[in-house]
Amino acid sequence: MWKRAKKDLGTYQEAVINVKDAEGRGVSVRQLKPALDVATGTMPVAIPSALGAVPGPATLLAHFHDEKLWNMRTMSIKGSVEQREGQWVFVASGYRPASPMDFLRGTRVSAAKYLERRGLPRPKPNYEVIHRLFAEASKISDP
Amino acid sequence: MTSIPADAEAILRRYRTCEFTTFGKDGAPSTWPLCARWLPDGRFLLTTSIGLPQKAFNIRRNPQVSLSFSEPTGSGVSKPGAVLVQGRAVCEDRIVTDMSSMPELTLYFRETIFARQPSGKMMSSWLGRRWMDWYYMRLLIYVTPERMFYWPTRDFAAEPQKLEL
Repeated sequence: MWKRAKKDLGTYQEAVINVKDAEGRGVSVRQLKPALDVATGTMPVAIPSALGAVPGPATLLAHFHDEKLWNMRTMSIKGSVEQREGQWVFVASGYRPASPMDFLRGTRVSAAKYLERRGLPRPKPNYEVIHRLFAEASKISDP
Repeated sequence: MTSIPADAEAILRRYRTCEFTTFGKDGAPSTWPLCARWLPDGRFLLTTSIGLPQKAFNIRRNPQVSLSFSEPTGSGVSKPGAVLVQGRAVCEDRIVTDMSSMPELTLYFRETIFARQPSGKMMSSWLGRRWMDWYYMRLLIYVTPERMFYWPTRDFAAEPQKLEL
């Protein structure tokens, strides 16, 4: 069941486990060489005790960008974390592979709905400003 | 607790993305990679497009968020550890389309996004305008930090240092 999730996760060197602490604050910890078990959808994760994480819903996020913040890709597996014999374990419950076409379609629909629900006309971004800021940004040597 | 060390400051200022977590209706964390700018008053500024509004909806329901700065690629940081910021966020309903309308937003786009992501220019090309005009219809997210944890190295299984704000 978790074959595709494992395969996709295998294209990333690292992932980040995201959970909650007892007060409902977000806790995120990067995991090196994440490896999901295909048969069980589980993966041991390291969460330092100082962070006060509690068992409950979790998300495993993996993302990539290059040196120029481009060629970005991301994936996310839903699940939960629990403690087994003193170790934190991520237990996957859902995974939907990313689809660029779905993303493009979804964002257009979401933007249209956002405006429609507020009775707002479609605003026009100020591209003159954007181009000017890009020109200024190109002169920054060590951003 | 220790005050924020220079190496942790470098992480907060130079890492290109953070893993930004909000919480959904069911209480489950939703995490996205996002660009954040640390402002002089101590808050963090992030933005999201109205094409990806779920973070805004989550923040308006539950302001607790976290920012994990743990991906050093492209930052040039010499001691690449990680910083976890926990705090509260606000996200107004105002849609911003003029990136020069506020000084901190100008800096955010010029220095934090455009200078670091030159290929992002395609979002304002003819094709970008035609298919992704929603990209520059932005909601602003301000995060006030309440706690920070710092890993000086990439041994993330080690206990982090709690930083004094």
